[in-house]
Amino acid sequence: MQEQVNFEWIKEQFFSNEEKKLALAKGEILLESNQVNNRLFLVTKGKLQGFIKGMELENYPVLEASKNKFIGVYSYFAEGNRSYSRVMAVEDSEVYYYDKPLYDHTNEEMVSLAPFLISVVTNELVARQHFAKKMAMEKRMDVQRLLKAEKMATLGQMAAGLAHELNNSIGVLDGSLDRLRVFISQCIADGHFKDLASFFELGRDKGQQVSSEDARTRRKRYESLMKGLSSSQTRRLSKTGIEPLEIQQLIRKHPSAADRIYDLWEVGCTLYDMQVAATHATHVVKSVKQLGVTEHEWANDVEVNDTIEQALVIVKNLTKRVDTSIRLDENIPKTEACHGQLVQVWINLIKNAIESMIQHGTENPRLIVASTYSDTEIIIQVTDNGPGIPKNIIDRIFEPSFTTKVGGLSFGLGLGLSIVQRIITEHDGEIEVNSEAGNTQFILKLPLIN
Amino acid sequence: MDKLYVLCVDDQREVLNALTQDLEPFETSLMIEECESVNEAWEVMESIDANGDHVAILITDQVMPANTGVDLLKRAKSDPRFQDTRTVLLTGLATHQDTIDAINTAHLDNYVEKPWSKEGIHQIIKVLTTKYLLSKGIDYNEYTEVLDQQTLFETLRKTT
Repeated sequence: MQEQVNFEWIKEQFFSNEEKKLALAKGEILLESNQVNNRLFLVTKGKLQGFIKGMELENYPVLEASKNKFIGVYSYFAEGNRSYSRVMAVEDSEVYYYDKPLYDHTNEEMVSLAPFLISVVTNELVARQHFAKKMAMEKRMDVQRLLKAEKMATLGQMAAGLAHELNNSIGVLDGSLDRLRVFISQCIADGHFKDLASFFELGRDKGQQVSSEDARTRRKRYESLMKGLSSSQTRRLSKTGIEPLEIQQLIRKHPSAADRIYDLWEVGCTLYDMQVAATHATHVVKSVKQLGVTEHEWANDVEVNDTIEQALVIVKNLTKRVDTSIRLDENIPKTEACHGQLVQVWINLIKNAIESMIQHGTENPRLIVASTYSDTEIIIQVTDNGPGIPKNIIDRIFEPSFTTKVGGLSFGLGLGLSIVQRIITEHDGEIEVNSEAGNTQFILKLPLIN
Repeated sequence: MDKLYVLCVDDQREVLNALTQDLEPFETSLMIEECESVNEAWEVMESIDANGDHVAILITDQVMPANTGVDLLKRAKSDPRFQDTRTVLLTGLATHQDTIDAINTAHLDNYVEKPWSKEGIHQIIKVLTTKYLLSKGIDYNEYTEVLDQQTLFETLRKTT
């Protein structure tokens, strides 16, 4: 009675002869391409791959066999017995082989072996089909990755181009604004409005500091104290923040001053707003430029405190709105870093801290920027007493295009913290965030390299 | 003469300033109020109503911290005190869905994109003031400066 032909039986019968066992070290060749082969191999350990030489590709894998899979199926069965690929062990492997040529089998042997041979061949066909599919999928994914990378590169180039163009325009606006400011200030101080110049200066230097709510209560005072003013005049004057008592006499003497005061304050205010907008636009452009380009120079004598001070200059119009303390350790040694990029990091962190406090309406908003160092690293801390980062978003704050700033002129591109992280990673540094309501702290550690 | 208010809501002062500047010509007939948030706007609306005056037109930005313009419009429309208040969404950044919401659930009267034109906003104020006066049955003869003749005639023709 014939025993059942199954894999274990086959293995036992034909692939267990210790004399017909080969050990292959990783990288060793089992079959060369086009080599005559009369053996059917069973892999018992490790992994082998078959490669063909393509036009451009040196070694393109076409088949793969790991434990309990066969190798040499094509060359053993096909006429001519030639291997079409070069088979190499890609791991340390072990194979047993069966080398009785097909034509040496008797008819009875062939009949009893037929199920086995058919199953070997079918399995091999399926395995190769799968392998081909896998390769095709990988190739497709590679192509997609490439396309995406290309798209990002194009975006980066576009962004850099756009940033450059905008920068030129903003530069012109910013410069013209400065000249206008000087000229208008001079005209007002010299001209026949000189008695009212202080109202212009109030607007020019401080902008509108009065909230719409404050304005409404002040407007009531104007309405009750100065009955002669029109509805439009009280509304406008109440926005300047000037108390009715300060200008009551003046307006009583010269009724036309009511409009003049507001007009002059407003001209000043417009200059102030333009300045704020220009600074903001410059910052946005800088952030965008950072996206695609890394043209910053690295140096081995960077003073980290200098980079902090430079950042503070750039965000001055923000820091003056909160109680800002700077505690820099003057003895911090010079280190290897990229000056420009570090400035960008501090700007982003400081801007975030202050904008969140302002937006939230934090009472007594406070910002602390501190630097210190140890033997191996420089530590910079940016602390604020704002609303804190909600627990549900703290894990996402470093993702590009994640933003909480949706309203107003302070809209965000969501690039700030992702840029911070990229730069700190490039410096082999670390970022730590601790946040709760009333105390948010970003701790940055930069390796000290001399 | 009843006091008619136009409420402007935007979290950016620059925008509020520019908008109220454009509305100045109407200040002889209408009261202009500025608010920087939805909550503030709601308080002002309630106090106007409590004084027996009218919130005739509500012009609001969409994207603001905390509540959006559409939130405010919905709230106004579901409150009997502000049923007749005419509404304008003035925005540079409303999504398709925001806009659909504003029209379907807040019964928006007008949608204006930033930057607006002075003439355009003047025309809208006139049309909406006229509609408000007519729906409230207020004597429109006292407000000739802010009336839109065409709206007036058309409405009168339909009702008589």
